[in-house]
Amino acid sequence: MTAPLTGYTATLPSDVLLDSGVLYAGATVFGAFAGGLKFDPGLTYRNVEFDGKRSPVKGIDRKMMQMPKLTGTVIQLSTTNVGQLEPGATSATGVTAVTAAGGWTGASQSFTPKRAANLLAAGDYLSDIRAIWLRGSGTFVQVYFRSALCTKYDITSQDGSEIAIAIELEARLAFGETGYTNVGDAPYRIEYLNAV
Amino acid sequence: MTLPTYVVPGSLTLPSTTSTTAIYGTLRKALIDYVSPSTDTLAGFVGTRIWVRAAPADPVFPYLTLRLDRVSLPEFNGYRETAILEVQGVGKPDSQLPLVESAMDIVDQAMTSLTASSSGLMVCRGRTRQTVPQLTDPADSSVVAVVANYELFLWPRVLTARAV
Repeated sequence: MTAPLTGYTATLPSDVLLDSGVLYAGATVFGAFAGGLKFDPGLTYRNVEFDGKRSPVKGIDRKMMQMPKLTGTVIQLSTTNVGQLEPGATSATGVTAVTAAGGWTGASQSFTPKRAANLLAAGDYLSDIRAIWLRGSGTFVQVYFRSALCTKYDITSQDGSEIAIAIELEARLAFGETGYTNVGDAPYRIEYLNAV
Repeated sequence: MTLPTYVVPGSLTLPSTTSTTAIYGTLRKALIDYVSPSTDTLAGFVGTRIWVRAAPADPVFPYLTLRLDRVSLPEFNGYRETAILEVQGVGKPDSQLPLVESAMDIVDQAMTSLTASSSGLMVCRGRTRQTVPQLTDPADSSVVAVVANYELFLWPRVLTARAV
C-alpha cells in the first residue's frame, strides 16, 4: 500500500512558523495586533527585452526595485504609537495646547504632524523594526528593517469591538551604515534567532 | 515504531507522539512539569493525580482527567490533525472548589502555551472552560468540577510516520 503524497518532512515540526508573530520597534513591542502580520519584500524584476525574445531568459534578470513592507492591524493607540505612526510629529504636553485647539479640557498631550513639503530628518525614521515569529523548534525567525517609516495608516472603529488601525511600515535603506553601503543593498534582512 | 501494549511507570519515552498513549503521556507530563510565573505547579494542587479518561476507584480528591477527541481532515492526507483535549478537574467536598479552580488556572497556562516539537508537533493555544453547576440529588452535591476544552493541532508521528 502506497502512502499518500505529502510535503511533510521530518524537519517540519522545527521549521513551521506558528501564530501571528509580534512587531517590535527597537526592544519594545509595538502593540497588540489583530489578524497577524504580513511581510512583502516588494521586489520587481526586469528580464531584459530584445527583438525575437519568446520567453523570459535565464541569466538576464535584473532586480530593479525593492519596496519591503510590513503591514498589519494594531488595536491600540498609545502616545508612543502616535509618534511611530506620524514621523516627525511634535507633541505638546499640558492643557493649554489642547484647549487652544478645540476648547476641550482634561487631555494633556497634543501631537502635531510634521509639516508637508519638508524632508524628514534622520531622527524621524523608525529604527530596528522587527516582525518576529515563533518556530516549532522554540526558536525564532524575524524580518528586520534597520530603518523604516510608517507611510500609511488609517483608524477604523466599530461598535462593540476594538479599534482597528491598519498600518504600513516601509523599509528604508540605512545608507552608509555597515551592511548598507551600496544603494542596491536590500534594506531588510531575514534572520534566525535563538532567543528574543 | 512499536506501539505500547501496556503502560507501566517508565515504559514510555516522553515527549513523544508516536502513539495515542504517548500523546496522552506527553500532555500529562507537560502539565506536571509546568511552572507558572508565580512558581506554582500542579503538584501543589493535585499531586500526580492526573488520569486518562477516569480516575481509579475511591480516588483522592482533587484530581484531573484527560480525554482527547481527534480529527484528521483530508486537506493534509490525514497527516495533520486537530484535537480537543478535555480536562476535568474534580474535587470533593465542595470546599475544594477554589483548589480545583486554581489547578485549572495552571492547566490553562500550561496548555495555551504548549508548543512541543521534539517528536512530531503538538501546539495548543485556545480553550473554553466551564465550572460545572452544583449537582443535586441523586447526584453527589458535594462534588465540584471544572471542565475545560483545549484546542490543539498536531502533526503526530503516529500518523506522519507513513510519510517519512
